[in-house]
Amino acid sequence: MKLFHKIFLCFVVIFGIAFQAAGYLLINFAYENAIEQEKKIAFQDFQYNRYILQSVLYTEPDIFSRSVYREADLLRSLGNFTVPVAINEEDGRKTYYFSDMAVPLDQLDFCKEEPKAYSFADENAWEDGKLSFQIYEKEGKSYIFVQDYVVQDEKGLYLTTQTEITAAVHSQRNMIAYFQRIYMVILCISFPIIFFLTKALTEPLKRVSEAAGWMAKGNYSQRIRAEGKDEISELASDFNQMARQVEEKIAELSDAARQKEDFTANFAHEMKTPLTSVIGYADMLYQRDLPREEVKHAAEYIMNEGMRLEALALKLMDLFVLDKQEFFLEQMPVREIFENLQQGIAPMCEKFGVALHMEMGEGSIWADFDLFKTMMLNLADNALKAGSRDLWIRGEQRGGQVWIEVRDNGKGIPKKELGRITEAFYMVDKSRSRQQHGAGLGLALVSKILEAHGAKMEIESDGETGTRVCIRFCSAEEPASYFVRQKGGKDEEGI
Amino acid sequence: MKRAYKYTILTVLLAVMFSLGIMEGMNFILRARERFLLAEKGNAQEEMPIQEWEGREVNLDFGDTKTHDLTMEQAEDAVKRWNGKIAMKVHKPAEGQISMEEAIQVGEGWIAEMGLEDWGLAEERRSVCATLGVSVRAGEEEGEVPLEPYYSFWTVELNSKSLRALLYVNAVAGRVWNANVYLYEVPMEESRAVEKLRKFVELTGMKGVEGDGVALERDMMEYERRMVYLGGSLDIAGSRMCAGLTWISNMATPYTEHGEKGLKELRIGLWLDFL
Repeated sequence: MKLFHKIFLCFVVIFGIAFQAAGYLLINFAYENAIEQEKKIAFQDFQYNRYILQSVLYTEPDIFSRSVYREADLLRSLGNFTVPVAINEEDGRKTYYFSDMAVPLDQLDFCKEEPKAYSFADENAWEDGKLSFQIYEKEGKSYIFVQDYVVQDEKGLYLTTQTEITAAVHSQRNMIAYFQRIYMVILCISFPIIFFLTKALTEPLKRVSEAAGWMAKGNYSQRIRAEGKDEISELASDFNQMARQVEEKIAELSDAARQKEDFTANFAHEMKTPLTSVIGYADMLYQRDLPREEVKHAAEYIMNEGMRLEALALKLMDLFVLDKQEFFLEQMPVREIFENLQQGIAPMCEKFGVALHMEMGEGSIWADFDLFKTMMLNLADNALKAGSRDLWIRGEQRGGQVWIEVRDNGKGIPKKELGRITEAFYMVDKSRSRQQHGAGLGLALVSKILEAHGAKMEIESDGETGTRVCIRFCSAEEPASYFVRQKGGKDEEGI
Repeated sequence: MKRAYKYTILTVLLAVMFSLGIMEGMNFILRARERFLLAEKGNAQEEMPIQEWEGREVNLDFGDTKTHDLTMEQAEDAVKRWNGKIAMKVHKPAEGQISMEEAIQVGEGWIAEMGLEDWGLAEERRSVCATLGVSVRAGEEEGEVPLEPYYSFWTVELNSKSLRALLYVNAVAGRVWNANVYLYEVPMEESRAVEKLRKFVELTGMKGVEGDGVALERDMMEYERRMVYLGGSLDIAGSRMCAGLTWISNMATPYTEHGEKGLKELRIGLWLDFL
C-alpha cells in the first residue's frame, strides 16, 4: 500500500471519529437541554392547571363527590384546563379524564415515595414541593406526564397533566438526520480533494525513488528537481548532494582503478622491457662464443638495464614508503636547506655541464629534510636530463608562503603533456628517458612529497624553451596547527 | 500498475465502509441515548422563582387577609416590570404573598366596590380561576436569582352570565392594579367613567391624586362594530405613575366575543402605568 493510501485512510478515520464524536456531544447536549426545557414547560402546565383545579374546588367543593353528577357540570366547571388532565381521588375509585389523555393512568409508573401521612389540620403537611414526572413514548408521539396531590379545603385529589413534546423530539431527530447529511456531503467533497492532495504531496517521493533506481542501475548523473523549502524539498536536495558525492567518488575510484591498472601495466612493461634485453644478451653470451668487443657491448647493455631496474625499484620503494609512513615536519630555514642541497646538486650540474644559479631569500618552512632533498634532486635531475645549459633555483617569502622556483632552458614539456606528467611511469620521450635510466617516476615522487608537505606545484612550459616549476610552501611563521599530516591521505589544511 | 489500482480501489472501499460504519454506529448510540432520555421518570423540585417577603408594613384593610404595604418605589418597580413582561412563570405562593382564596376574595370585592354591575357573586357566577405568576424578562428564564415577591400578580378570572373580568392582583399588596372587564347587556353611562377611574385609583392603595378632573378623549370608531371610545388618565401624587382608563362601548354589534349576536358590550380597561 502506498504512502498516500495510508495518509488518506488515516485522514478518513481521524475525520470520521472526530466529526461524529463532536456531533454526538453537540446533539446530546442539545437533546438534554431540549428535554429539560420541555420538562419546565410541563411543570408550568401542571402548576397552571393545578390552580384551575383548586379554583374549581374552591367554588364547588363537592363537584367530585356529588352522588349524582352530570358530565355537563364537570365539563362546564373544568373546561378551562389547558392540557389533557386526569383527576382521581386518593382511593383511586374513579378517574376523570379531560381532553383525551394519550395513555391511561394505570399504564404510567410514577416514582412512588413513601406514602405521606396527610393531616388536614395542618394544611401544609402535604406540600413537599416535589412533582412526580414520567416521559412516555407511544405510537411515535412523546409526552411528559406530571402528577401531584392537590388539596383544597380538606379535599384532596391526584392531578395528572399531559404535555406533548413530540415536536421537540422530532426536531432533535431532524437535527441528527441533518447532521449526518452534512457529514456525507463533507465526505463526498473532501474524499477526492484529500485523495488527490495526498497523491500530489507524495509525488516527489516517487521521483526520489525513481532517481534512486536509476542510480542503482549505474546512472549517477540523475538529479531531482528540488522546489520549495519543505521536508520533501530537503530530501530531494539531500539526495542530489548524495548523488553528486557518489558520482565524484565513483569517478575517483574509477580513476584510481584506472591508475592502478595503468601502474601495473606500466610497471610490468618497464620490468619486461629491460629484462627481455638482459635475457636476450645473456642468452647470446651463453650460446655463442663472441669476440671480446661484442661481449663487452653485451655486458654494458646488461649493466645499463640492470641499473635502470635498480633505479626503478628504488623509486618504487620511495613511492610506497610515502604512502604508508608518517612524517613529522620540522621548522627549517630555507637558506640553510639549500646550502645543504647545493652540495648535492652542484656535482650533478658539473657532470652535465650545466651552470647552477641558486638564490635563496629569508624564510622558513615546515619540512622533512630528506624528502625535501629527494624532491629537489629529482627536479634538478629532470632539468639536467632535458638538455639544459642553465639551472636556476630561487626561493623567496611572499606573504604567508615561501615560493621555490626551479627553471631550466632545456627541451621543455609540450603543453598537452603537462596534465599527465605527474602520473607514475608516464614519459614524454620514452626512448630518451630509458637511455638516461629513467622510468617515468620522478615527478610522481615529487608530487607525493609535496602532498606530504601540504604544498602545491605548478609546471609551466612551452615545449621548446625550457620548463619552470613553481612550488609554494606554507611559511613556518604560521601556527604549527596549520600543518596537519594525515597518514596515507591529504592534509586537512594546505596552501 | 494493476497492483497500484487494486490498492487504490481497496483504499477507497475501506474509506467508504468506515465512513458509513461510523455514521451508523453514531446513529445507534444516539438512538440508544434518545431511548434513555425518553424513558426518564422521577421527582422534580418545584421551581420557586420568588423569595420570601422581608418587608414589615402590614395592611389589614381587607379583613383578616394579611397584605403588606409597599413603598412607592416598590410599587413602581412592580408595575413597570409587569407592564413590560415577555412571559409569565406560574408558581406557588411564597411567604408574604396572599393565597389563591384571598386573591379571589380580593377580586370579588373589587367588582363589588367598583359597582360595575348588580352581579351576585354566589348566584350568577359561572367560573372562577386564579393563577399566580411572576413576570419574566429575557434572560431570566433560567431563574438565576430569586425575584422580589411583589413582582408576582394573581390573575383572577371571574365569569358570569353578564360579566367577564380579568383582574391582576399584586400578590404582596393584595390590590388590583390592572383590570379588563367585559360587561354584556348591562347599562353603564359614560359619565361614570371618571368616577370609575377615581375609584380604581383609590382601590389600588396609591396615596393621593392630582387634579380635580380627568382629561377624557372621546372618539367614535366607525368600524364594523361602531364602537365609542373614551380614554383618560389620572396622575398619582408622589409617583411617576398614572392610572389609565379605556371605555369602549359597542352601540350595536353583530357579534360579541362569545359569538352571541346582537348584544351590547362594554369593555373597561383600568391599569397603572408611567407618565
